[in-house]
Amino acid sequence: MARPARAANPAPPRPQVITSSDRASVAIGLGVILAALPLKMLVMGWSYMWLTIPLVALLSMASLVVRRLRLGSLMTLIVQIILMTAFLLAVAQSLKTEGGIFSGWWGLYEQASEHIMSQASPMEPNAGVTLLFTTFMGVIAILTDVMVQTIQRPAWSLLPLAMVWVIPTFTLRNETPFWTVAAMFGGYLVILLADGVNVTAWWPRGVRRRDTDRTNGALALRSALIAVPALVLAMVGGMALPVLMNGEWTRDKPKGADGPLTMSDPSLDLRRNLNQPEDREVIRYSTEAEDGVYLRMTSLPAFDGTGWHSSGVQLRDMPLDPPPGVTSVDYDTINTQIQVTEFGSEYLPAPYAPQELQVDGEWKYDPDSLMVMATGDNRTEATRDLEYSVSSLDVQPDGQGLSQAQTGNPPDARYTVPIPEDLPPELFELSQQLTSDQPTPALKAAAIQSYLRSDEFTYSTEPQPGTGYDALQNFLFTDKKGYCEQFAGSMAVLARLAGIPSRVAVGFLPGEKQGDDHVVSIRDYHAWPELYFEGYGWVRFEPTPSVGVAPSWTVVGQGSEEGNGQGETPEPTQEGSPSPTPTPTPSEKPDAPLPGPVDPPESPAWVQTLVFIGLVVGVVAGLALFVSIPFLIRRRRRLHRLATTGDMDQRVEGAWAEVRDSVLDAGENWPTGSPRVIGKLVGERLDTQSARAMEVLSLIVERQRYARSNSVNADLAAIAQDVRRGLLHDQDLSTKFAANWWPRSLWLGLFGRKS
Amino acid sequence: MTTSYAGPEDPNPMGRRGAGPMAPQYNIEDLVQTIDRVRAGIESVIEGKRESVDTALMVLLAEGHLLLEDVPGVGKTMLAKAIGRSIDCSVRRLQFTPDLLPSDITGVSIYNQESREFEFKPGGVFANVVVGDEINRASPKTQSALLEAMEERQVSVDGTTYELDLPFMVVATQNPIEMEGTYPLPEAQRDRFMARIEMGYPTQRAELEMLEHHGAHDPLMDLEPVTDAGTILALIETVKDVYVAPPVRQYLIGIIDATRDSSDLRLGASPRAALHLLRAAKAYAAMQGRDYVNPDDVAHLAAPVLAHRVLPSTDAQLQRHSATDIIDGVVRSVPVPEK
Repeated sequence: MARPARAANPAPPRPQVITSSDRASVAIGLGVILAALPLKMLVMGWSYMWLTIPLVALLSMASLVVRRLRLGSLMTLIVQIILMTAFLLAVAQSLKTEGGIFSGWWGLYEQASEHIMSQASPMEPNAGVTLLFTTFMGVIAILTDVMVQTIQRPAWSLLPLAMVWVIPTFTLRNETPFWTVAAMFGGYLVILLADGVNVTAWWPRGVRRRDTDRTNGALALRSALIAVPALVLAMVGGMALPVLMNGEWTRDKPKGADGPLTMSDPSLDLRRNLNQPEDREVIRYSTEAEDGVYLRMTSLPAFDGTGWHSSGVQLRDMPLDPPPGVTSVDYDTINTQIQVTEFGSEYLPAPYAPQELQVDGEWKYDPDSLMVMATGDNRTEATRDLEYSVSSLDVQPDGQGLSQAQTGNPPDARYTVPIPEDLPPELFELSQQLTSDQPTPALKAAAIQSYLRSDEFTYSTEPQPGTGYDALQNFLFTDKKGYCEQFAGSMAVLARLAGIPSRVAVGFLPGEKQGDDHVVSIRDYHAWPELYFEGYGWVRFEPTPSVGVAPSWTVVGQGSEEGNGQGETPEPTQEGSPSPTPTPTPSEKPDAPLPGPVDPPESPAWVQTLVFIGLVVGVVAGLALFVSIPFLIRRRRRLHRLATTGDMDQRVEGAWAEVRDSVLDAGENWPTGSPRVIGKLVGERLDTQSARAMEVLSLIVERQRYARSNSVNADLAAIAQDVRRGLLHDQDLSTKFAANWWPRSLWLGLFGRKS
Repeated sequence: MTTSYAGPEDPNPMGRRGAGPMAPQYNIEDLVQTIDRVRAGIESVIEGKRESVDTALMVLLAEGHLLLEDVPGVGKTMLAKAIGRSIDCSVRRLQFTPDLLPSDITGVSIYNQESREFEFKPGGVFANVVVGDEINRASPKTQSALLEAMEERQVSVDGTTYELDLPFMVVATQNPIEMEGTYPLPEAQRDRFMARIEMGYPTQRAELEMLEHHGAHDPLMDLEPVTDAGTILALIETVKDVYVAPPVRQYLIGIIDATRDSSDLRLGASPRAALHLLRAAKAYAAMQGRDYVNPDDVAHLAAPVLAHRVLPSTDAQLQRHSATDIIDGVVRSVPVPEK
C-alpha cells in the first residue's frame, strides 16, 4: 500500500515534481547496485555488474512509474516480476546458443551451478554465473522495493542488502575487504536517507489513517510473508554455497591488482610428479653458482589440520623487493639462464632470492614469499617452453653467525608463526625433546634437521596412510617413512613448535650437471622448510635424506670462518639419491656492505609519531562524524521544515512536524487529537511563553487544515524554536543531550511510528 | 395547491419563508453576539444549564428539532418557551395524551355555515417553536402527524398543503420513567430529531437561586425579546456558509461508519444522521465564532446527535453501557484527521 501522500487527499493536489515514492524508487535502485558490489569477491571481472545495473535500474524505474500511476503495490510487484523475467530471458537468449527459450534459460542456470561447484572462487565467470548473479540481484531489488515502499519499513531493507554481502563473506571466510561492508552500508544509507528526506512529507497521513489501522493485522502478515522467505533464502544461500564449493572456497586466495586469482596448490603436484613413471627432463639452466641452485617456485606459509597452504599472497608488479629480513649476511648476485621445457605451472621456478627477471608474459610477485606468478592468459601453463634469466641474491649465511641469531618477526608472521590449537600434543613433546638442550634457535633447528636425517627415517614415495595430523603423527612416530613433503612439513612444524617461524618451500632440486648446464628432471620436484632468523631472513634447511644435502650452515661444526668448502655431511644418504646433488658451497663471500634496497630505511621516529597522531586524529574525526550523523540528519530535517520557502501548507505542516519531533525528542509522547487539543495538552507542560507559542501554532495549523483560507503572518520558525526551547528548558542534562544528539523522533520515524 | 397560512400569532411577516434577497447579511461575529444575547436571556430563566441551552440554540440555527429526555419538572418546557420568547417567536405547547388526534396537531377544515365554505382551523403545530410534551404518550398515528410536519415543514389537510412559519423548531419531551401506557418513539421517528439532550437536575446553587427568583412571579414575564425571527433566519443562512474541509467531512463519515461497525451497537447511524451531524457541527462552529468546522466540533456533537438514533446491542445493554458512552467510545476510536 502506498503511503497516502498529499496527493491522495481529496484536496486539490499540489503539483509535485518529485514525490516521496519517486525518491524511494531511485534510492532503492542506487542502494541495491551498491550492495551488489561485494559479489565481485566471488568472480573475476565485473561482467555481472553490466547486467545487474540495467536490470536494477529497470526495476527501479518500473516501481517509480507504476507507483506514480497509483496502480497499487501488487501491480508494482507484478510488473517488476514480468520485467525481470523478460529481461533475463532476453539476456539468456543472447548468451545461450542451444535450446529453446525457456530450456536455454534454465540450462544457463544449470551451467552456472556446475561451474560454481567445479571452480574455486574467485572464479572466471561464465554466462550462467553472470546470469545467476544478475537474477539474484533482481530478486534483491524487488524484495527491497517491497520492504521500503509496500510495507513502508525502510529500515528492514538491511536484510536483503546484507544477504548479498553475507554470501561472499561466509563463502570466502578469509578477510573480506572493508569496501564490501562499506558498499553494503552505503546502499543501506542511501535508502534510509531518501526516507529521511521523505519523512516530512509522509507523516501527515490524513483521514485515511483509519484504513491503515484496519490493515495492521494484515500488515504483520504481509511483513512475515516477506521476511520469512528472505531469511530462508539468506540462510540457505549462505549455508549451501560453501558446502557446494567444498574446501576450495575456504582456502585463502591471492589477490592481484586486478582482483583475485585462482592458485593451484603446488604441494598436490609433489607426489604426482615424484611418481612419474618416466623421468623426464623439464628444466635446463646455466648458472654462475658453481653447484647449481634450488629452483624455488613458491612457499606455503600457513599450516592447519589439512596441511600446508599458501596464504595472504599479494601480487605486485615488478621490480621485486629485496628478500625480507636479510640485513646481516653475506650475499652474492648470481645470474641464471633457465629454459623450461615440458613443465607447465603458474609459478616461475627461480633461485631464491630473485631480484631481476627477464621474462616474457605477465608476471607479478608476492613480496613476502618472493614467488613469481603468472597473471596473463593460460596462466597454469605459463612456464611451458619458457626461456628466461634471473638475477638473484644468493644468500649464504655463515654457520657461526647463524647459530647466534635470534628468531625474528617475518612480514608474513601472521601465517608462519601460529600453531593450530588442535595440534596433537605429542608433536610438541617431540619438539621439546629434540630442542630443549640447544641454546639458540639455529641450533634447535639443526637438531631437528639432524633427527629427521637420521637412520630412523626412510625416504619413500609410496603413499602413506592418513591425512592431516594423522599423516604427520604416522610419519613421525609410527612408520617414519615418507618423502620430501613429509620431511619438510615435519621439520617446519617442529621448528615452529620450537619458536622459529617456518614455512614450506616448493620447487626443484638443483639437478644434475651436464657440461655447463644443469638438467632438472620431473623427479627433482621437491619441498623443503624455510626458517626465519633475525638478520638472515628466510633460511633454507634440508631435512630430507637421500635427495638433498644439508646446507653447510645447517650442520653443527661447520662455519664460514673455517673456510672449509667441504662440510661434513652428517647423515650420508644410504639409498642413493634420485638426483645426485652437489654439496652446497659454504659461504666464503667478502664482507661487502649490503646494498640499499636490501635494507629498507626505517622511518624516523618523528614521522612515525606524526603518522600516529594523524591516525588518532583521523579516527577521532571519523568517530565524531559518525556519532553526529543523527544530529546532522535531524538538523537537516529541521532546516528543511522551517524553511521559509514553499507553500503555506508545507510550511505550516513542517513547523507542526518539527514541534511534534521536538516533543518526541524531549522524551514525551505526542498526544492524539486535533491540533487544538494537542496544543492544549502539550502547552500544559510548558512555561507561559512556550505554551502561548504552542497555542498559536496549533490554531494556525487548525486553520490551515480545516478553514477555507488561512493567512499566516507569524514567524513559524521562531514559534517552533520557542516550543522546543520550552520543552527542553526544565529537562536534565542527559535528556537535553539525547534530544540533540540521539533524537528519539528519528528512531521512531525510522522504525515505524504508527501512533 | 399550496396556500400560505399566516397564523394569528405570526409576529413577523419578514420571517415567512427564507430570508429573502432583501434580508440583511450577518457574519459570524453578529451571530455570536446575537446568540450571546439570546443565551443570556434564557439563562436568566433557566439557571446552570449552559450546555442544554447551547445545544437547543445550535439545533435552532441548524434547522433541526430537539428531543429532550428527562424526568418532569426540570425545565424542559421552560427552555422551549424561553427560546421562543427571546427570539420573539410564537410558541405553542402540545400536551400529548393517548386521546390526542392527528387533527389536533395539523389542524382541521371546518364547514363555515355563514360563508358556506370550508375554513381551515390550524392545529398546534402552527408556531415557530412547538413544544411537544411527553410525546410518547400519544398514539403512533398522532406522533407521526407531528413528525411529518417536522420533516416537511408543511401540513397537508384535505388535499391542501399549508406551509409552516420559519424558523420552525419542535422541542419534544419524553419521560423515561413512566413507561406504562406509552408509545416510545420508534427508531425511524427518533432519527428525525437532530439532537437529544438530557436536562438533568440543576446544581444546588442554581436551584437555590431559582427558588429565590421564581418564587414570586413567572420569570418568563420578565424576558424581553432580544432578536426576531427574521434575524434568526438570516443567521441560519450564515451558518449554512460555514466551511467544512474535506478531511473533516471524511472524519465525520468515519465516525458514522464506525457506529455501523461497532460491536456494541445493533443499529448504527443513518445517512440522515450524517447530514444532521454536519449541520449541527456547522452551527456549533459558528457559535464558537469560527467560519470553519474543526474535528473537535464533530467529536463534541457526536453523542448528542447520534446517541438517540442508535441501538445498543444486548451485550452492551447487559453491561449497562449507555448509547452515549458507546458513541463516545466510537469517537475515540476514530483518529483525528491530520491532513
